[in-house]
Amino acid sequence: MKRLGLITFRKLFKSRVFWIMLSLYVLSLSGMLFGVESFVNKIAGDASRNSPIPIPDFSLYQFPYVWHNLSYLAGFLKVFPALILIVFVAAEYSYRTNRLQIMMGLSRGEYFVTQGLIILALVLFSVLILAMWVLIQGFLHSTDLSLISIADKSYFIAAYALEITAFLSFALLIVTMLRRSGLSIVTFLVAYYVIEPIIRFYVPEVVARNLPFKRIGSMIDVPNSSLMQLFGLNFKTYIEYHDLIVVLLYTLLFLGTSYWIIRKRNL
Amino acid sequence: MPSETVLNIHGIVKQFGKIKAVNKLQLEVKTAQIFGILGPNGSGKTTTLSMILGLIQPNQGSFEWFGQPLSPAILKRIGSILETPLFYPYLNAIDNLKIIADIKETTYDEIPDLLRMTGLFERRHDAFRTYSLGMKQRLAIAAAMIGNPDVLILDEPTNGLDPQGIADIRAMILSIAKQGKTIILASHLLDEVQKICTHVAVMQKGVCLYSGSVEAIRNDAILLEVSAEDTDLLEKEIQSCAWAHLHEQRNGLLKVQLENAYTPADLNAYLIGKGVRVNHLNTTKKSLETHFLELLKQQA
Repeated sequence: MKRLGLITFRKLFKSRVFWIMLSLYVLSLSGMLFGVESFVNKIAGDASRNSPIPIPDFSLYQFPYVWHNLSYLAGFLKVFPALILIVFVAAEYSYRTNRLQIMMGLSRGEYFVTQGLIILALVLFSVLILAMWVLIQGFLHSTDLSLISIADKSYFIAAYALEITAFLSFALLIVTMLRRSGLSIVTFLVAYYVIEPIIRFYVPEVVARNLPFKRIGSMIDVPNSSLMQLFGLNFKTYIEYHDLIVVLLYTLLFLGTSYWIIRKRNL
Repeated sequence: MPSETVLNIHGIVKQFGKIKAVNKLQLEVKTAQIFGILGPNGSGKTTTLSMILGLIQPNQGSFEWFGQPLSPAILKRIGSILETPLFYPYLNAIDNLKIIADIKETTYDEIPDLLRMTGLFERRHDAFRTYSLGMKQRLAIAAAMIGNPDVLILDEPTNGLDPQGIADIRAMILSIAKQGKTIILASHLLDEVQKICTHVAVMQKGVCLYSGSVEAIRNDAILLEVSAEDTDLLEKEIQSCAWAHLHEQRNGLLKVQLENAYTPADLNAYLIGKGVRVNHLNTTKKSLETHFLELLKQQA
């Protein structure tokens, strides 16, 4: 495992493209997590001027809700690491270094693991950035700094980790099938933003709810239910085990299929 | 030990659509041979090598390395170059070789020596994409040598190189062969096979036309020119000789091929015994080239 880690490390971390893409991701994510509160409050403030009931200023950054709020928001940028993954896995096919590695004695299973390690690295990175901002904002903006309050909803970050793992696994499946970078990116984005939403529109609710992107995205529901309750909307303020299991099964399906393709394919 | 079988191929077939790229290929490579696979472009050489390296699956047939089926453990004992050199373009020579050392589960210790041997030491910190074709090819050889493999597989190692590059690579291959390694070399260049290889398999359209030692081809390729005052008698006696074969007759000069065990002296003695007085006896070597072309022609 250490050996496969070293191979992956060398491939990724010595690439300037990787660092540029990663920096852009970190910057966008940080900007969003840092600036979201003033953004939301500005909108709420504008709205309250015309509203009969005054909408109170509120903080997104209070422990323990900050875990939920920021995990939900960070989920919007999961396309970023998916693109990084696609670019690097597709590069192996265009440089034909996949061929090189297999003929030098890497088993196909080990080759698959090196791709999985790229997913792992991107997930760890995302989780780290998120955790960092949650803690910074939480400590700066919370009045209740008891351990219970701080740790209470931290499980949201685990759900976030699973969310991007599942999402990246789908990206891996697409690029493993298509091999070309541009084609994979377009297919992936179209599947995510166009095809699944259209399918959701036509199929019965039960099916729509269980489609992969829907399921992955709805694991962490819209936060700040107190505000939403004003409008009569109810959102989950917790993670359902049922959701976790379905998303986990999707992840295994995507990874398993990618592995199967790598095993079978003529190089 | 010297005649241990390294690679044994039993009737492998690879079909791409309607085309049989490799058709029932049968080969045996033994320790310390420099085994050339010779054939024009598209004769199935690279497909064959891809199969024995586990990159593509044969449709039929099987093969064994060191008497065992292919596995990653066996691939680690084989160093190979297929077609174009494959590396990460943004990594330098050292990092590219380190990745291969990691794959082969060996140390990085030999990397500086390999870079010196291939003349890349000065450029070791430069990205692979800045290398010339010759340097890329030499890095591929260095990569193939990592982990001190027992077998080297080289597919068109001099393809696209200038004469100096070709000479360098050939010298390198010969010096590696001196270390007792088994080398399998695919080439469409006859001259290359003739200069480097001890054994050769000639392929065309996926079929093996000939397989054996290069020396045997050379012996096979000896032609005698004979003439005598009495041409008719000479021709008659040669035709009745069991181990001499008349190739052609032109202006009283007969071209004769002898079977392997016989020498020109034997023919001379035989003719004298028959009362033929030879006034010209000359040996000429058919070049491997003519031989190769003949093989291809016979098949066509």
